[in-house]
Amino acid sequence: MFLVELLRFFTGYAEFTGTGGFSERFINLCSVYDIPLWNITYYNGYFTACTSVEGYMRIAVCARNSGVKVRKNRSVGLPFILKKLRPRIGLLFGAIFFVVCLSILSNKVWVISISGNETIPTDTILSAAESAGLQLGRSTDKLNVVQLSLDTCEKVSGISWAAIRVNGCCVYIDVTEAEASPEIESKEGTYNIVASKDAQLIILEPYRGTPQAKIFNSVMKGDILISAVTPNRDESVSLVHASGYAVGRTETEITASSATSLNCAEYIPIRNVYTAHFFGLDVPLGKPPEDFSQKFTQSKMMAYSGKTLPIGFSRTEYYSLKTKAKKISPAQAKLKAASDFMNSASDFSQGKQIIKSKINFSENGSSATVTGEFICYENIGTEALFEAETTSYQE
Amino acid sequence: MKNKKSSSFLQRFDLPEDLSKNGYHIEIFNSCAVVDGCKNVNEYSDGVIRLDLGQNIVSVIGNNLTIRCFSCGQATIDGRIAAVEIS
Repeated sequence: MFLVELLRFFTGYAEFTGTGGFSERFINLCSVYDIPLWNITYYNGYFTACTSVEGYMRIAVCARNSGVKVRKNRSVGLPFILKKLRPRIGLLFGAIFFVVCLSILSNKVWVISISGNETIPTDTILSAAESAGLQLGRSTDKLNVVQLSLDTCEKVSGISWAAIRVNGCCVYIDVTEAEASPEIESKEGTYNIVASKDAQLIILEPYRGTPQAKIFNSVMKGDILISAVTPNRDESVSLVHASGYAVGRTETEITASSATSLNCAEYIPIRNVYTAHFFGLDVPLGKPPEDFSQKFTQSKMMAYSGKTLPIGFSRTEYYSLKTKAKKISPAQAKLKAASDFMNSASDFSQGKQIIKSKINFSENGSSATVTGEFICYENIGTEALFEAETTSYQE
Repeated sequence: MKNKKSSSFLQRFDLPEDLSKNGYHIEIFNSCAVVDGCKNVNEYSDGVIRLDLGQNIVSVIGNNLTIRCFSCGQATIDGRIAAVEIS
């Protein structure tokens, strides 16, 4: 029945009311004149029925012969809807344009989603994929996914594999980052372990080679701690790659100072240029300046259920860099010196055990200085190439 | 006489009798009755619909009766059908 109603909707029909006369004769005459009637419902003194558009145009004869007064209630169906919309012909062209756009654009790549990267920036992978041939707006039928994966892996170092799959207009790149292999200590060559700075030796653990220094003694920078010359039992010697662990007590002084007059680099904004992005088409809404030192771009793209759509705006801020002398207050100078000192101390303390520290602030009229004295335990052993002169047998 | 001849012909070849000129066929469902072979509507009201089948008259009696379809000698009657009389 649904199909019949659907067919009637497409062809259109009229619903009418018949009053007075002989309703039975009216129905019989309609049957004789081959006018289709359906949904004939009788009420007190009148009846309603439906007929096709052509049938309603020929129904007057039946109504006149049977004495029934026919009055149309409503017209239902697609032809009547289209008749109402006939003045709005633009809607038709819009619908056609929509269908054409949908059929063309649905075969293109519009969303590139990258996942799985932790250390490698998304922009780096995206630019590598673009140079490999995966651009927005490219037809999905022409994508060679395997070749794209290989090219992307080749262009970005640190990727072990990039799995690329296409789902409709979306391309998903699932990246697997490579794990760095541990460095293998080279045992080739002849090396001594020497002191990298002046210190009091606290721990000396030779793994290979002959210890040359005694603990709790002072060593100078460059002194041999573990020698590459190893005596054998037959009183001959062998030259080896010395290795071991040497911890010394060292004293280090770190100084950071800041003057009240500084040369500051200042970014001066020139212009903001907006760009509209629409399905891979970038339309700049302004002219970018010719001379600029730095630019920053912020993009605001539309998103749907976590996927970035290729529609949005971006704002590019252009700056010129100018250096000029700037006076700061003594308190600011002190703060800057303290900040620089903290950065230096933080770098210095890596891999060291600080036993004692002493920090002094000093300031005169034009500068502030922070001085820190650190006493710490640290690994002072470093490899140094064993140098030997070759002499002839006769000498 | 002619009708009797066609009826005996259909019986001889074991064919359904509604294939004859004045043959009719009535099917009744839950709330719907389909009458094939009706010629005219003799009476139509809310409570009874009387259909002319040529030699017989079928009356469908009930409430809220609606002729869902009436074309090509077939009538589909919808509503609360209480009784169907053939006279």
